[in-house]
Amino acid sequence: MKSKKIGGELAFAGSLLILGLVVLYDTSKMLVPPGSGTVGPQIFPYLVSGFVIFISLGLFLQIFRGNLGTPEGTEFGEVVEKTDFKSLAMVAGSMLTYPLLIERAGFIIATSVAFFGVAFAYGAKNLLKNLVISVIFSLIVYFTFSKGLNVGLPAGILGIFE
Amino acid sequence: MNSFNSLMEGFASALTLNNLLFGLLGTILGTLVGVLPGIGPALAIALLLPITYSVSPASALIMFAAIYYGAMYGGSTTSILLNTPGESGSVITALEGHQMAKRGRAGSALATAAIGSFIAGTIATLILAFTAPSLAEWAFKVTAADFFALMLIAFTTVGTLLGNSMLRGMASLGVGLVIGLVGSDLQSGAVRLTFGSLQAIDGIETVTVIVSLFALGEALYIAGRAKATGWSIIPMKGKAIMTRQDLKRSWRPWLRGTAIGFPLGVIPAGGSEVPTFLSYAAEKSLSKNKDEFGKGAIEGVAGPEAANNANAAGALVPLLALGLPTSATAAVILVALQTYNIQPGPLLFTTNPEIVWTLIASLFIGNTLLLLLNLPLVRVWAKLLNIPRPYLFSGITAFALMGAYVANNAIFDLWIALGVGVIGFAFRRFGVPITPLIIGLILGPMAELQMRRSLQISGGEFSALYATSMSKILYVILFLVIIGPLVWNFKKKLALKK
Repeated sequence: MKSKKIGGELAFAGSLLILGLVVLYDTSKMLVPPGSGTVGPQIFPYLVSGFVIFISLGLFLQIFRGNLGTPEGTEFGEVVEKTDFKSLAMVAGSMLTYPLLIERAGFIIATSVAFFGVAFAYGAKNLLKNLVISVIFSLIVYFTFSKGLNVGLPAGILGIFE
Repeated sequence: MNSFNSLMEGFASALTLNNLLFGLLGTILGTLVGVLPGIGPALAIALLLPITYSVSPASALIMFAAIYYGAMYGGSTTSILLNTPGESGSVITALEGHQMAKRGRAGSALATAAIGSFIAGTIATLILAFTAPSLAEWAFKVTAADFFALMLIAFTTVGTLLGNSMLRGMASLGVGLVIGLVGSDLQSGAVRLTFGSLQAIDGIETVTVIVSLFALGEALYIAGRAKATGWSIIPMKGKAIMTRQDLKRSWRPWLRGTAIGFPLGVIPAGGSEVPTFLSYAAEKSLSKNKDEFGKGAIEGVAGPEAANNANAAGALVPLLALGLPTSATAAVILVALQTYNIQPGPLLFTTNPEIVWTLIASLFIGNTLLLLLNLPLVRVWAKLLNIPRPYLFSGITAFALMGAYVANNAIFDLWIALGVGVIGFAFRRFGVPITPLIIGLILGPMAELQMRRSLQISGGEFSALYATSMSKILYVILFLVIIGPLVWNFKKKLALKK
């Protein structure tokens, strides 16, 4: 039980350590343009990488001494002990469709899909109602922004109707 | 006297019918978004920022000020009726205001919060108008080394005062500093951390990071970690008005809250958590009806709400005069001003005085519009709380993704947004505060600039960083800020052992 809990914490501190090392590596390989003067573009990144590595080591120490982070409380009911990976994956998956669809299929379809998916993951049971709300929401946002506020949004494959 | 004249000129340029309409629209939108549970003022402003892009600078400023006040007030409505503080500054309001609502006094709680915020905001903006110019003048004498030391203090206070672990606050700051490094270095043109991507050379869009961190991170976190329990909304009965008795009990807390909130906003004290808490403690100890506290004492809403608003206005002093943001909301404001091509800092008051004064006048106007609009419409806002949870999060997600895309019309930004969303999830999961990341992202590049400027003058001699007497004093303060909490914790541990 306890060791399982530490796993996630260690992964977090580990990612931070890797981040610091990546910055260190990138800075050491940096192409410094000639004439950058005595105080070039490398000093600050070196300081930042040192800081991040130092903090990650501190975190490791804290974790091994049993000092774990407390997950943030939410406004939306109790925090559960175990992550609900199914809902989490559905929400993440819905978000992932957006960059794939926005330019290929256009704003209205991309937004409808992401909206529908997140609502479904959050437990919207009535599929038809969800679908109707998703499409109406996307249409309202699209026309308000592209026609009302002149913010360019990709019309995509629905562009032929305009 | 000089400030007074400039302020009047600011009013003259801000007060046109067209601008007032934009202000009205900003108030409505700001409150609308601020009321939604899960959206604090920083996120509300960041989400609404794209709307202000298409209007003229003066109108954008007034609309922006209105959004800002609307979002702040929307947040307190949610705390009172739903017991869900949208941000740390509203925790106390939720505590005491929700109890009042439960006892059927929601109207009085909302009214004392609105009027208190208005009074605190007005007084604080007045002080801002008269102190910021002299601070900016003084800041001319501040050297690059002093600025660097000041930024280190801002980093440390934001990193240590938020959340319950200093190390985790610092981890958040570090990630922000790294994200701030990405792109080409403005001074030398060297390319950093882009890994061959051409789009990353321009750096990472700050607004995208802020929006994704809050909105996408929250949507992921709630989906994965919160039990789907419903919330209880207290129905709003009657009007939001105060009785004579309420007023008598509220006016002193309003003024005391302002007095506590403003100075703590000026110094980097890590946001509105400390001042609202101090105000609550002060009201409790001064009150004759101590037993009412915790069960719905109006003083416990009036004081902290005033402190929260005065604190936010106080944070504008270092922001405008020094270009130094000290809270997440102030950081978003800095980004907004930069998109209108306004660079806050000592130079602003001499190069663009008309813009500063238009902004300050806009703050007064936004605050007034809010009071006029909100008290009568409070029941409409309360209705928004009935939006079902699935659609609330769908809407937040959709707007966040759209915001990330429209900033540059680039899919690249969307991938960044999703990555940052995952960071937001991980931070919440492991109890890491989010604000230090934002401060690091925005202040990091500025700190680097000041450090290199100082070192360039000295020819690379590091002692130049602590050569002036001011920087020496600042480093002593920095030392105390780091050591203070450690000593405090150590003492607590000792006391526990006994």
